[in-house]
Amino acid sequence: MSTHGPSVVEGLPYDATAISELAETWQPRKGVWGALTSVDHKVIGRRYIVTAFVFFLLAGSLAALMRLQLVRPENNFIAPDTYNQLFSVHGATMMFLFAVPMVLGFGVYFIPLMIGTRNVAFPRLNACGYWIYVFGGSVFWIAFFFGSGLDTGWFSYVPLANLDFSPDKRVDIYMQTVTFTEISAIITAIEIIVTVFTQRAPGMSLNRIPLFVWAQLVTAFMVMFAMSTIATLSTTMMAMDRLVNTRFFDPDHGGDSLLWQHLFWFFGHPEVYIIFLPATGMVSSILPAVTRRPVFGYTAIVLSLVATAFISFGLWVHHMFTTGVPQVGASFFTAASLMIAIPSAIQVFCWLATIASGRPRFTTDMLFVIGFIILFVAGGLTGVMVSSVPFDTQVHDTYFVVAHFHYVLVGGAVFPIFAGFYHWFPKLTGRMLSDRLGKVQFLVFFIGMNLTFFPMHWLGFEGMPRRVYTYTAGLGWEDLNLLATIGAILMLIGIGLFVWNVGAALTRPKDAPPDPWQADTLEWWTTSPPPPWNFTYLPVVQGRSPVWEMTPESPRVIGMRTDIREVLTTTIIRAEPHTRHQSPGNAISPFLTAASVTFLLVMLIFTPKAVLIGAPFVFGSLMMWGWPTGKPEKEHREEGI
Amino acid sequence: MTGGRLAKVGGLAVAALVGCEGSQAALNPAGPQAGRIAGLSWFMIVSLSVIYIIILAVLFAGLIGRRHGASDESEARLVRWVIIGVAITTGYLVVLMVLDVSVGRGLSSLSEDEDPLIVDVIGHQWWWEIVYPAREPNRTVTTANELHIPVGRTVRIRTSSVDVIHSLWIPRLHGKRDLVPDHPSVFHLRADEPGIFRGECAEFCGLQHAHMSLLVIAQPEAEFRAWQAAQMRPAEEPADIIRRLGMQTFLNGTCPMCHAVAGTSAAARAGPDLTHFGSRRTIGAATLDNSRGNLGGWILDPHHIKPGVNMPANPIPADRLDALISYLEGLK
Amino acid sequence: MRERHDLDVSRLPTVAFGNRNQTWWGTIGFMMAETTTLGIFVSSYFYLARNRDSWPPGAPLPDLGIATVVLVFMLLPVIPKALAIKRGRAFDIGGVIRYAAIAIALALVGAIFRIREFDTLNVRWDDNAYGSVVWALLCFHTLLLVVDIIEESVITLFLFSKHREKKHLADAEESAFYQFFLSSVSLVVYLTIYIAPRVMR
Repeated sequence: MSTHGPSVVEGLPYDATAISELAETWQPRKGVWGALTSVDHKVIGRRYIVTAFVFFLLAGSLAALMRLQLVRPENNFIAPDTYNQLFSVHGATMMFLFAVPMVLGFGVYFIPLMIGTRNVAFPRLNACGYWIYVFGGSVFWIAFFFGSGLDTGWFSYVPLANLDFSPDKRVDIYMQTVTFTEISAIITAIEIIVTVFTQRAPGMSLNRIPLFVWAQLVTAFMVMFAMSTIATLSTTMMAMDRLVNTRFFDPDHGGDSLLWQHLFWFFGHPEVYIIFLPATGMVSSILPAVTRRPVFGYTAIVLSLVATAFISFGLWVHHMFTTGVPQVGASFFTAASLMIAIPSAIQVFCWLATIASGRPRFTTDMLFVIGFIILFVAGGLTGVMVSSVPFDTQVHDTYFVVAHFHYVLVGGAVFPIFAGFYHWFPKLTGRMLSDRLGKVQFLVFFIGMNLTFFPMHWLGFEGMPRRVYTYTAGLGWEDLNLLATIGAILMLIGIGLFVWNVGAALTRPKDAPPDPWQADTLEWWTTSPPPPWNFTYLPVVQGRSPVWEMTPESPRVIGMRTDIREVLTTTIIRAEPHTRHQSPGNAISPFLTAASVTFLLVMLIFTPKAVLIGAPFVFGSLMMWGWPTGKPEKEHREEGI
Repeated sequence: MTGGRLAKVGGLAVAALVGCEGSQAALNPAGPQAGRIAGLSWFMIVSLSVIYIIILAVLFAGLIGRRHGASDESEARLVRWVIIGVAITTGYLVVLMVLDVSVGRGLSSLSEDEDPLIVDVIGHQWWWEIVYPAREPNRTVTTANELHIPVGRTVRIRTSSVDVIHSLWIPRLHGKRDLVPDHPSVFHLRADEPGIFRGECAEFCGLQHAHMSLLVIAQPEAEFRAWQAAQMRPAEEPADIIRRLGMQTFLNGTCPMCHAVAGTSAAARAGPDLTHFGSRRTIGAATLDNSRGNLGGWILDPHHIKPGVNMPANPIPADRLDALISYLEGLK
Repeated sequence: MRERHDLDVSRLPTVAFGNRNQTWWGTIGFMMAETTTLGIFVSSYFYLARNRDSWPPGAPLPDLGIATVVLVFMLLPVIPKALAIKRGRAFDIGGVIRYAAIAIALALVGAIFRIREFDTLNVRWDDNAYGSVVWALLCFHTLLLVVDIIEESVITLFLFSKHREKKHLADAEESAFYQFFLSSVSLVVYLTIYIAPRVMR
């Protein structure tokens, strides 16, 4: 545990010429063209965060409508078909368009900063990933506004989702929406893995990388396997069943309803840990600043992250306990589901130890971390309960499960995300959010969340199933539903307060200091917000809390070119520098590629010929992408052969 | 009366009929299966609440407690505490695993019973077909949305579906079992007290998933046999003129395209069997109380009450409708 | 103020090979995704088979003849590609181009036979779930094959042009490395579609 000196930013002396050259080399172009061609990871990361938040607001409004419908029995505020779209679009949006892009977006923004490099490994690919995400999400929501919203649930079980029971285009649109988001997630995962393994600042060996980065790295590996699974399942098997009459899920032709469930949940269970693990990384990143000590148990936490990732791929059948799976097999999945509590518990204990032995400071980001611990542990404990097959047969598909997963997702992901907003807002925008308003927001949101979801545990025990647009009077469900609706309104108010806080902050001048929280990771070693090239001199890292360990005499990297975009690649384990790598600059080809992919996938909703018609466009934009820029003085030409 | 108002009145009437607060409560068991699960549930609720309070206490102590300053000793102490925490967690999880396996074994013990009552429950969008099979076809009972069982006797339920996945859930008696069209399955339950227990479809099955409930009526053995015997008999020829007119209206209308009444020419299986409809307590899968007024509204336009059902509207003139209602109510 | 010993990286090279090359990592990423997809199809194949009394259901066994010819042409390119990697490390452009061209030619021949192979499956994708998964497996590998042939050709043609640089040799090495993966996929697909049903009988 070390005390730390004042923030060291860049240090003096520096070469003013170097900075102005860097500015010219790394500056994006202006205006709309600049926005379409930027490959700056901070621009792209910020876009992910803002877009994901917009989807959060959209999906949240749907939830508010659902709660209004359920406030009293046999209500006729929302018709059944509309309600079925509401809960399906709510779930799909929260899972695919908000949660994963949000946490990965934080990764895209902060990882290069935290590991001391200038950009991600494949900057144009990064840009393309964002465009694909926003185009796909837009297609999904535009369809919803035109009455073609998904109505079979985000899990879209067969046979209900087969052509004979869902003859319209709603399911096809959803299958391709999933395609967009999974391509985007896989692209981001590749960025994270390659950047973290090859571009860390000299001296940042693997056992010195921030826990935030470890969490993102582990998650990225999970994404590679889980998202590829859903790609095969939804994009290929299900879409083809509906488009060209393959028979994967058609029981009349040898297909199997449970095959869908197995494959979906093989993706679906890791998916929730893909959302949760980066959130734990955010918590581990914020705690040192608000407790003024490094997180306790670095190695234990890293091992817990890895263990959680592995075990999470072995749990999926616990979503199928009521389908009549044989008892012995089911017990295996109970054991795995119980076992995964252990690494999560280790993380919680390490955080508790950090808090107990640190000097806590109660700024809003800390409050959201505390809220996270309170809510996530509750959700984790109900998770332990539903691991039990007998118990699960009673509460599966009831409001008890709705309560459980909202505690782990709102508590376990949304609260850390809000903590992250308050903590990193100055770095992202150069301004501080109001801490006082933040505390009010926290209180309203925390109370609202509990009021909404705690009664649902009881509703499940009282027999209320999920996904029902209304319910019979006299079963004792009225009061609990009323409470839940009031809680939902409080949550809405809380989010409204946050939006107001952000709006007000953005009108203030950009005067946030580089390190307002006295935090320890490298993103705080540069200005708020960082310049496009992140660091004028890349740091040389000597410990796990670089900013706390830096002094004006700490060595830096010199000798990188400032007239072309250059990043330093280093060895995988010990981060010894070995190559200077040229990093691509602004380009329009990522946007064009995303547009042509969108064109192909949207057409694929309607006809398989889309592959033939769309492929030339995709191919063309990829050719443009790979074409050499042909400006000899702007490349590493001395390596010509 | 319009369908909408009927729905509200009907809903309340069902509620009153079933006496329902708690009729669907998993923690209010009426049989050994639900009882075992309830026991396990209470153990977990209580023990996990204790654990939760302890963790909250540690959190708050950590937030507001006194600081002792950093040292290797304090780090070592923290390591010890974390290891203790992990050990306790692991121990508890092992206990849960053992409990879980043992409750699971207990639940399957009913399957060893020698002489269960066998019932087939077949899911439809959005109603329950219930068949008591027998070797002789004229002793087979086919009904819908109401499951009668004898108190104290094991019931073997065989599940399947004709369309999408549904799930049969009678909380006071047992955990739920999915009705998967290509994966029929079997489970056992028993009611140990008489009463009316409400059940739900617990797997999203489309537009009217919310209105696919059923009543399970547990009766003493003698009463159950009497009910079963009555259900085996075909419908009697109606004696009075009004009911005869009603039967004519039924048979000449579109009703026989989907519904069967044993003893008449109506034999279709697409919709619920109506042979003993008058003896059932509800309409539309426990959506409405079975009363003359509700039935009239349902026949005229079921979509007012359950929009999207497969049954079409039937604009029948009032006098014939009245006769038809009398006919159906007389099918006891 | 004490001396600061900065780290001077100005003499470091600008091209890296093997796992120091970021494209290598990108290739690994593709392999992870594609392995998962293959795994899902193969698992689905065996899942669908487990409840059946006779397999393949409703269709005769797929023919071995053309499929085995295709397999041979899918496995052979490993040799010229391995040699191309050696030549690449020695900066022998001519050598790289020669071996890459041989590999592409072999793959093209295999691709032509592959077109015929679909007919010898003896089942259509819409006949039943077995037909669907078998066509999915074969189409999946064919897609990878076509994309790889195109990519290989582009990279090799690049080595002819005056824009070529050392980093393109590194890229050539990455794609050669991918060849081992692609050949393995073709072997797994072959074993699943053609050998497994014969073993399961």
